[in-house]
Amino acid sequence: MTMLEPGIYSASASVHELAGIRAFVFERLTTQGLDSNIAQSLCLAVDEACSNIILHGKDLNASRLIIDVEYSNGLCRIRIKDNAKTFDPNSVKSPDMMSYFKNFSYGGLGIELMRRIVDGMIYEQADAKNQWNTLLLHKYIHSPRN
Amino acid sequence: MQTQQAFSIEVHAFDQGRILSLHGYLDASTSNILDQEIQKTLADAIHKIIIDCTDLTYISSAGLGIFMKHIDAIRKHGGDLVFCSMQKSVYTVFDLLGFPILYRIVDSTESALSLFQVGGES
Repeated sequence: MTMLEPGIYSASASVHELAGIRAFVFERLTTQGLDSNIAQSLCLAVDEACSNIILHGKDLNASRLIIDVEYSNGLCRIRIKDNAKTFDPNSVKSPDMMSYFKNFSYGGLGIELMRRIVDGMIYEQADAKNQWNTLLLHKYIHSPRN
Repeated sequence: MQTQQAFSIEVHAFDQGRILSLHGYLDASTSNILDQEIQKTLADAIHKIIIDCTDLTYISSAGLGIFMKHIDAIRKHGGDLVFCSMQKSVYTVFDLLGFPILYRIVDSTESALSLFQVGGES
């Protein structure tokens, strides 16, 4: 783990980094005045996003995650950059939870949790100009969903 | 939010059942510990399981997935997973996806034990 500068956190793409990532996001959001319950739910969204990147990019060595967090004017913006395989969470369909329970399915709920917590997810894949895939999560704090 | 305490499980027996008391956080780095403990419990032919969440500080979909992985087999053997003493933040995660429809979640170990006594599952 490395704190590159205040508000930016860099970690290897390993599940063992998740607790540190959550602690970083929670601290950044609450020190900027965000309610701790909302900060906790955003930590979960970030955990799910990072877990997916780690899971889908696990065959690439030395992949990294860079996370930066901003909260101002009622808007939380959390940017997660990775250099693992391209994976757009928006490409995953929402499950029908009643069928999910009826069939005792398991797995595949991380992206659905993210959707239910944040107000938007914007994904930009790496290209020739930019080596990083970027997932931007945003949440409006004064929205009726809070 | 704690980063020091990872995850551990204390195991206690009750009449034909087992209480798994979870401590710490349950995420993609620790969910395999829970998976192994539930597998061990089922291998011992125990299907009445109480998940004591008093000291469970955090859960992600990786943790939820472990319960879903085993619930079908547990219920097919006439047993159940009953959750008790959940912290509000943990309950919120279950509730976000509608899991209270599927699982019985009660406020204390005593209530969980009484559900098994009334229900008579094996």
